[in-house]
Amino acid sequence: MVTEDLIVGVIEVGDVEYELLIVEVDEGKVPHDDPFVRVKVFSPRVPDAKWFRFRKDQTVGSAAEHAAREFGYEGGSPTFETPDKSVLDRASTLEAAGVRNHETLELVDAGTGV
Amino acid sequence: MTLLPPSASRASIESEWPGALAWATRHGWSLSLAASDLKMRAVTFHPAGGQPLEFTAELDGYRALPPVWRVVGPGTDIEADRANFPSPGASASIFHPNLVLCAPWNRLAYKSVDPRGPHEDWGGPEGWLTQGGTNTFAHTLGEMLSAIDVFLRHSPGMLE
Repeated sequence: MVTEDLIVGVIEVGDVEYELLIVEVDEGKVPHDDPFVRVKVFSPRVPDAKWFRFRKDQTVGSAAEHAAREFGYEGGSPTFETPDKSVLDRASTLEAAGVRNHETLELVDAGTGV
Repeated sequence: MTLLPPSASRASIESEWPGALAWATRHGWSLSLAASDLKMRAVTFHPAGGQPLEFTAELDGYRALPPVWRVVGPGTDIEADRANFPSPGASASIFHPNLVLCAPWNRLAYKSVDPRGPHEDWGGPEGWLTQGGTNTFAHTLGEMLSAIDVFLRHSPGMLE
């Protein structure tokens, strides 16, 4: 598969990678030069997660905004929270933030109180 | 103040409830809803000290108005005193020393509603869904719980 031809965004039925996501994928089989990372994202809005494919060099903020739109958000400062409850810096790239292929992330807001 | 029939609020709550409940399950919170009196209760533990923490959301008028969020004493409906209210920790937390959750999605954050409310500059609570800027953003009950959870992790303990 020429992965450069893939597009970022939600991975749904019909996507060439959709079937791969329903099985446990051995991280070692993912090519090191794969420019994409696939993540499972939960939102507090709905019970079910969605799968997304993002570029590793995409910022966390950009990827989270993309995911947020898919969940129906309009506004805010979305970012991702990892399973160990770390809230990722929106300015980091997904790769620099340590996001791994097939990781489960939670959509959270990075806005402030007063 | 906007008047909304309870049936409209119940419909909004019912549509958001599955997402909020799923979020609570994923994050180890306990959530209950008294649909008859439009009140939600959320129970967790302070991540730093392990003390029980309870929040209530009064949902009359929701979503024309944001919920009335309160931190309450464990197992009660009595508003928390400083010993049961999380300290802010982070410099721009929602945990305000006035013992109010300071967020556009809390009706009590508006001074026009409650004198403890820190904000006159947000207009009235009717505009809560259009508040922008860098403020905490939460338009559903699940998102509000998520926001509380995130700010709790910056809190070093209770105010006293």
